[in-house]
Amino acid sequence: MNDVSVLIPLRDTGSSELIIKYLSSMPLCAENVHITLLHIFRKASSEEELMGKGFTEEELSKFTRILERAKDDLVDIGFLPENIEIRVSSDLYPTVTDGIIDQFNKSERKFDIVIIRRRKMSKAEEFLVGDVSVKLVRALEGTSVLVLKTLK
Amino acid sequence: MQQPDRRIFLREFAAISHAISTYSDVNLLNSHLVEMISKSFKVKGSSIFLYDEREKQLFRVSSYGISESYQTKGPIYVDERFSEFKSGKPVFFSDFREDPRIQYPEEAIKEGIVSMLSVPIKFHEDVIGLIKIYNAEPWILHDEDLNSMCVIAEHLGLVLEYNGLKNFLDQVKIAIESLPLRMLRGISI
Repeated sequence: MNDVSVLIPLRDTGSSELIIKYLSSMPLCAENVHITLLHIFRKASSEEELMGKGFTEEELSKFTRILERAKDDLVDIGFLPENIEIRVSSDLYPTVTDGIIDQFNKSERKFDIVIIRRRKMSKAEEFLVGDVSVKLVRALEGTSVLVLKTLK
Repeated sequence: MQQPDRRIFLREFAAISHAISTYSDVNLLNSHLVEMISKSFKVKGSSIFLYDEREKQLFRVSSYGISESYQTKGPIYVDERFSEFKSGKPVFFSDFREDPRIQYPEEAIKEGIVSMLSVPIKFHEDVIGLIKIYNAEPWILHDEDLNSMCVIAEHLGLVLEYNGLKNFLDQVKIAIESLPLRMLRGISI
C-alpha cells in the first residue's frame, strides 16, 4: 500500500479531539500514514503590550502541549510515533489561513490530504471571520481537503 | 456608603485600544480582549457576543473565565428585556438573583455569577454585539470604568464591521474571478 501523508492544522483541543476521533474510524493502514500536526502561532504586533511577555511565552508552550497531546492520542489509536511530526510555525502571517497555505506550499513533504475542522457558525460570525474551509479548498493545489463539520 | 473602586486606568485603556487598532486577526483579538478585560476589571470573566439579525440571537464568539456548560446553556434570544439593544446604552445588572431580565438565572447562580455589565458593541447607530463582563461578587461600578468600556466597545464595533466587509469583499473578488472574461470587459481587476 502507498504511503499517505496527512496535514492536520490544529488550533485547539476541540479540533484535535474531533479529527482524531474521525481518523480512528478511517480504514487506514497506520504504518503507511505520515501525519504532520501543524499550529500556526500568531503573535500579534501589540500582544506583549496588551498581555505581557510572559503570556506570549506561555501561549507558545500551551500550543506545543496541545500538539504533543494530539500526537499521544494518535499513537494510542495505532499510529506510529516516528511517523508523526509536530510543527509550530512562528512566522508572521496576516491570517491563520494564509499560514496554512504557506506552510503547505513550502513543505518538502507533499501532502495527500489536509484535514480541518469547521465549527458551526452563525451568519453574523461567518460575516466577521469568513470561512477558512472555502479559502483552503480553493487555494490548496494537488491535495484533497477533508472538512469535518461540528454540530455546535 | 461604599465608594466605587476604579479599575481601568490610562495604561490598560491604551493597551486595549492599541490592540484593537493593530491586531490583524480578529479571532485572536477577541480572545485576548476578553482575557485582558477580565484581568483589568479583576472579575470572574467576560464574553463577546455577536448579534445575528436574521435569527434574532446572540452568538458567543469569545470567552474567558466562563465554564463550557454555562457557555452552552442555550440560545440567547434578543427581546425587549435587552434594553441595551433598544437604547444602545450599557446595562448593569447589580444582582442576578433578583433580576427578571436574566434568561437563565439558575445557570448563572450555579456558575457563580452575581453581577454583570453588558456593553453594546455598536457600528454607528446599530448594535452589532455585546461585551458582557461577569463578576462573582457584588460590584459598585465606577463611572470612569463604564465610560472606558463604552469607548472600547465603539472601537471594537468599527473593527468588527471592517473585518466583516473585508471578508465580504474577498468573496466578491472570488466571484468576479470566476466570471467569463467577456463579462469582465471594461472592468479592471
